[in-house]
Amino acid sequence: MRRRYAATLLVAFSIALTVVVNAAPGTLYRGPYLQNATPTSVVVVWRTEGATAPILHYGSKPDGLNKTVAGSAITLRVSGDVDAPDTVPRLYKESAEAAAKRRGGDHDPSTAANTYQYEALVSGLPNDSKFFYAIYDGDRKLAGGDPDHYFVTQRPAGAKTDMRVWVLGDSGKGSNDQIMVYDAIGDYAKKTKRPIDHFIHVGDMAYDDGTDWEFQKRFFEPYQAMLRNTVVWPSLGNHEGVTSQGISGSGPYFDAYVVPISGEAGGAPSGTEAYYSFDISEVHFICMDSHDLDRKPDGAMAQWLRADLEQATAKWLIAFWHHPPYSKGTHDSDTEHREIEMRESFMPILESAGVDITLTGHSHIYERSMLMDGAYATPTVADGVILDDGDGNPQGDGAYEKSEGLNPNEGSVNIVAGHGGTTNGRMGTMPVMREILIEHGSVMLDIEKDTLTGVMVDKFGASRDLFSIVKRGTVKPTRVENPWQPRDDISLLTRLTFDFADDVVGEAPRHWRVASGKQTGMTVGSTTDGKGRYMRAQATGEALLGVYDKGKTTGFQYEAYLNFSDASAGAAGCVFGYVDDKNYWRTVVDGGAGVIRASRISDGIETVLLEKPIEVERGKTLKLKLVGSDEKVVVELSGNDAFEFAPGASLPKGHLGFYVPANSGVEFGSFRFRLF
Amino acid sequence: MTTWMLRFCTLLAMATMALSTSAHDNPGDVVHALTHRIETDGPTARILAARAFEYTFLRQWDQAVSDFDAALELQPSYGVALTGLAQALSHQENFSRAEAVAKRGLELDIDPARQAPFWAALAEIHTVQADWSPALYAWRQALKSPRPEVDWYLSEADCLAHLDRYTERVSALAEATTRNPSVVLHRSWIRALVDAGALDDASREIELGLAGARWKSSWLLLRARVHAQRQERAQQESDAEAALAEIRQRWNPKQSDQDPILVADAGLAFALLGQDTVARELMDKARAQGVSESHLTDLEQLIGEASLATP
Repeated sequence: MRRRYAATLLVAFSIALTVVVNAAPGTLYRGPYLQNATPTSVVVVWRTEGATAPILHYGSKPDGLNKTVAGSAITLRVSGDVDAPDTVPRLYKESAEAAAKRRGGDHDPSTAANTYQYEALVSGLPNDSKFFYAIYDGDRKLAGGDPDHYFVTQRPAGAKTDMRVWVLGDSGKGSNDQIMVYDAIGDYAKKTKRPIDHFIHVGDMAYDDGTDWEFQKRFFEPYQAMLRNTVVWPSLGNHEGVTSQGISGSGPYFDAYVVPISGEAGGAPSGTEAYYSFDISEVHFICMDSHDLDRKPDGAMAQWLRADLEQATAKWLIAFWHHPPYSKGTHDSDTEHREIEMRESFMPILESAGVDITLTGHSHIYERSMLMDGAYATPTVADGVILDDGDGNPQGDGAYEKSEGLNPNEGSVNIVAGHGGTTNGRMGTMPVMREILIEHGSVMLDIEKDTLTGVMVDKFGASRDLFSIVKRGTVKPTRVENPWQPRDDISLLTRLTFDFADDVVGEAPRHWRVASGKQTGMTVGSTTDGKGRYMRAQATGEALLGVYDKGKTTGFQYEAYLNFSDASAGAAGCVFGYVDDKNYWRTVVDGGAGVIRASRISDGIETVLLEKPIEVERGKTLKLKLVGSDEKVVVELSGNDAFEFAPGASLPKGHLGFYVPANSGVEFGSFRFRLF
Repeated sequence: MTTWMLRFCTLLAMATMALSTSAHDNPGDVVHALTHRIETDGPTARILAARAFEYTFLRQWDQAVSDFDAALELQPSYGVALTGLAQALSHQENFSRAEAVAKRGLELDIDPARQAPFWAALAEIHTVQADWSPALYAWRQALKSPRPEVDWYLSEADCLAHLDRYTERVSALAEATTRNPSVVLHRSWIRALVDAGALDDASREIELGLAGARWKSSWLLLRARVHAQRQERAQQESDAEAALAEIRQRWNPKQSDQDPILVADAGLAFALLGQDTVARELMDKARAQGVSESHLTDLEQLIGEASLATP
């Protein structure tokens, strides 16, 4: 990113190159997409393979593009292989050292060879105005000149607020769910007859490593139809952070985006593209980097935030970043340090400036809080921090109410929108949340004058949660005693770890039951140093079958750590698709026979689906991992041997559990379940 | 926790984590998975360093040092591990070895951009020990990087303040603002003007800041300090009172949970009003909430000066 005040445009070089190099004409492969919109300007970005003579034409009608941007208003950057002067900025190229260490299956994170990126600054525009555009290579049109390629300059700070903002997080998995979420929000916009004005992404847009290829395939190509006419305001996620660095502003993420660093879109200059702010009409937006920058209360980012908020005069304040201050989805904000630091260091700054909404991702779930203030302690509790424990729905308990303007500590709604396309999950219950949904989707915010309405739209296009904040007159906030609490039940969880730390030694572990075999065969034990716990499963006389009793699933990921500490013991394994003790599937590691065997038990009759020889080392902990779906079950033993088999029938929604054949025993160090 | 070194290590850890089981698990889980991988596949420098960084996230410095050492035994020129080791050793207050490790990193490459992390690491080590001259030298070497961090400029300025080179500090920050438009550098430059006694220049900037600010307390406190230097007691107290009133307005009703910088600013206001006991209590509270010593320098000086003036 930028370097706007560093090396700029060398389009002359580019033009010269097209003349000198007698090569195939440059091919458009990314964009055009919109960036860094202000009331008077916008940046249009595109990439070609091969050099071009870049020109942008724009005008008030698709067939009347009578104005031109060219020359020094277009910044050129090139991939590392292009033979260009040193003054031309380079796109990301992985170091030779890093390349040498890359695993065989990993994508090369470097920019594709022969890439030319053009960033056309269209300036001197009237505010709140729509323009159509097209990009050219000399006289050859590359894209645009139609009703779909347009940009709209922002409403100036202070103008009447009327906007629709799409909020998406953790989308970039390349999954079918990602596409469904995108299609669903488009359908929702059509159904509600209001196009999306602004697009906020709260990070993890390019799994797994934020490589240039992943950006191309998992962000730019899927969303191109929107990006050509809607500005995306990004924030750095941990997956982008594998190859991009907020500290230096380098990497594929920073190559892709142009965001305000000098206060050109409103707000205080940040001097970095890792965090920034901008104004649109009466809304002040703040983006932070929660991934790899200093999160201390007096670090540079916190100092910038304070300075920015001191001068913010908007009526609404919306902040977004990646790591959620409050979540128990696939991440726990009570135990993970980035989340804790964002809560402890930044929430007090935001709330003392009157923040209305925070938007985050990272945790793959939709969680939406009640109206709350002052929840900075670890662990997060609801007592004393809830200002309105209703659902915020105007048709339900009523909208949340705040005073007009930005006023300190009148409450914020905190949203985790990490459900945009990758595997969702829930590991606990965050007590400040009003709505918790383990479904794919995204969030639409409509802000009109003094009312903000948020809707969670799921991947099928259904509205799954709706709340409003109304800022009118003067409201004196009061704290709710004994606030409403979300249901906290293990049966709601989809990510479970059983390490038996809270169980009683000598008794059966909680949430498990013996489905067949001796009821006393399953007991919690303690390691010799007294620091650890395990579950001892001993089958004497007859086989022992135990199940996790609180949840059922069809798809799953199952991990168990087994130790055959007893030299006479032989076999144990896992159970899935358990309906009853005559109908289930099991995968058993048989150390005595030296095989791993997968079977389906149907009406009490065993059908072997897979049997493979293995070596089991007594006294050494084994990790048995299974990932199961209707099509296949993949078995992995201690990260080495991997097998797969077809279950032979559709997996029913059943329990997970364990199986120990007669006269065998095993210690299960822990279980980790992910239920899909 | 020291500042820049940790962040550098964090981002390098992220790069290293590309090889780990999942960049999406919490540090304890990742340690668990990496340990299992080391047990099954055998140790490599990258996996050991990856686990070491997870230990740093968990603040388990002994384990982190052990893993970094093991990684460097396998790959002695592994820059990521060297920087991480220097950080972990610094946290263990093993400064002599931390310094030696950072210097070892400097010998890996002569490119300023690649040397910068090691210079910054070295500067942090000196800063923690209040060795301001060598810290200043190291920060200035780090600042030769084509992309220096905002924090590095601030740290350079802090060193100059500790060395009583206030005029030079103003120049350094003025130079920094020409390289980076960050408002943080600009505000630090204005604060440096006040510290250096360049009161007319400072006043001009403060009035501009006040005119554009919705929340004015930080500007009012700066102006109060200008008044203090000019011995304009009434104006000093008036600004401090106004700042305090605004801070109280922003104060979170849950008294134990405040923005620690607001706490420090309230302390500064009380000090400017001559109420040193309250000021000291607030300073201690801000410190306990993680505000660094460099941020509390103004307050500490004001309280100190008042104490000296008291017979």
